[in-house]
Amino acid sequence: MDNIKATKNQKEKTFPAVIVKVIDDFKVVINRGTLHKIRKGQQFLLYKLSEEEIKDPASGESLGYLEITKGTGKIIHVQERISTIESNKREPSERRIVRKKSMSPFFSSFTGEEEEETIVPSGRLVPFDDPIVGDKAKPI
Amino acid sequence: MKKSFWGLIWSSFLRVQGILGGIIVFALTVLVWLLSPDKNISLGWVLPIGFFCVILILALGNAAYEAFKISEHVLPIVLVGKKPPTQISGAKLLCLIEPSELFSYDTLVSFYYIGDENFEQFMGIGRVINIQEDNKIQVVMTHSLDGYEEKIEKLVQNDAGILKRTRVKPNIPAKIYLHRILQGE
Repeated sequence: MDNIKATKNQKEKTFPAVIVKVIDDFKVVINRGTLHKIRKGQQFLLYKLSEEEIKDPASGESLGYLEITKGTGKIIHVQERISTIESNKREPSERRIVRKKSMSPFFSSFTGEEEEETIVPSGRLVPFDDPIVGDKAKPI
Repeated sequence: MKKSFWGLIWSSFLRVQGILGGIIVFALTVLVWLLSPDKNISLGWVLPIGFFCVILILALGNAAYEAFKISEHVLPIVLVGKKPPTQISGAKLLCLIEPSELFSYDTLVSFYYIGDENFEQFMGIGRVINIQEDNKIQVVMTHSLDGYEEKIEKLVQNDAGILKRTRVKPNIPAKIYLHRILQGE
C-alpha cells in the first residue's frame, strides 16, 4: 500500500527533492530514495530559492525566483526513502612551473634553463555552500 | 533566405493556392448573383458570421506574428546579471537567460557584447551552472578578455542597457578551446 502511494507521489513530482538532514558541510540527506528510482552515483545540484523575486531591470516585470546554487554532489548511499549526497566538486588543479638546469654544462650554455610545467590534480573536496534543512536538490 | 513577416504571409497565401481559391470564390459569387439576383440574406446571419470571421482572422494573424517574432530570437535574451556564487572559483558574473534548448547543464558558453556598429565583440567564456525549474538558464563567466572589466561590472549591477547588448552563445571559439586543451584545463 505504501509502495503504491509512493509510486503515485513519484509520478506527480519527484524533483526537486528537499534536504532533510545536514551531516556536515560535505554530506547531506535528501527525502528521495530507491522508491523514487534514485541510484548510487547519480549527480545532484543543491540550491535554494532567492528570498526576493528577480525583476527585469528594463520593464520591472517579475522574472520569478532565482535558484541560488550551493554546489553539486553525487549519491553515495541510497535507502528506501532517503539518500545521502556527498559534494563532488574539487578544488581546481594546481599548475606548477619547475625550472631545471640542464644536466650537461655544455648544453646548458645553448639551452639555458629548461622549464617544465606540471599540473598537480587537487584532491580536496569543496564543501557545499552553507547547506541547511529545507534546501532543494535536483538531478543534473 | 530569411523572409519578413509579410513575405511569409504572401508565401503561405501562394502555398494554399490563394489566387486560385480567390478566382473560384469570385466566380461562384458572380454565378450565384446571376442565378438569383434578388436573393437576400438576413443581417441576423451576416453580422455574426462576419464578426466571427474577423475575430478568427485577427487571432490567427496575431498568432502568426508572435510565432514570427519568437523565431527571430534564436539566441536567448539575457534577463538578469548578478554577482556569481562564491563556490565557483574565478567566476566574474552570473547571468540568467531565457529558456533555450540549445543549452544543457555544464555546457561551455561564450559572452559577446554588441558594439555601437552592431559588431559582436567577444568578452569571455563560461559555463551553464543551472537550468532552473522554470527552465531559465544560469550561466557564469569564468574567463574574460582584458578591456571588458567595466562592462562586466555593469552586468553584475544588472545594467539594463548593457544586458540588452549582451549575447550568450552555446559554444566557444575554437582558438580558446584549443588553447585551454593544450594548457590541460
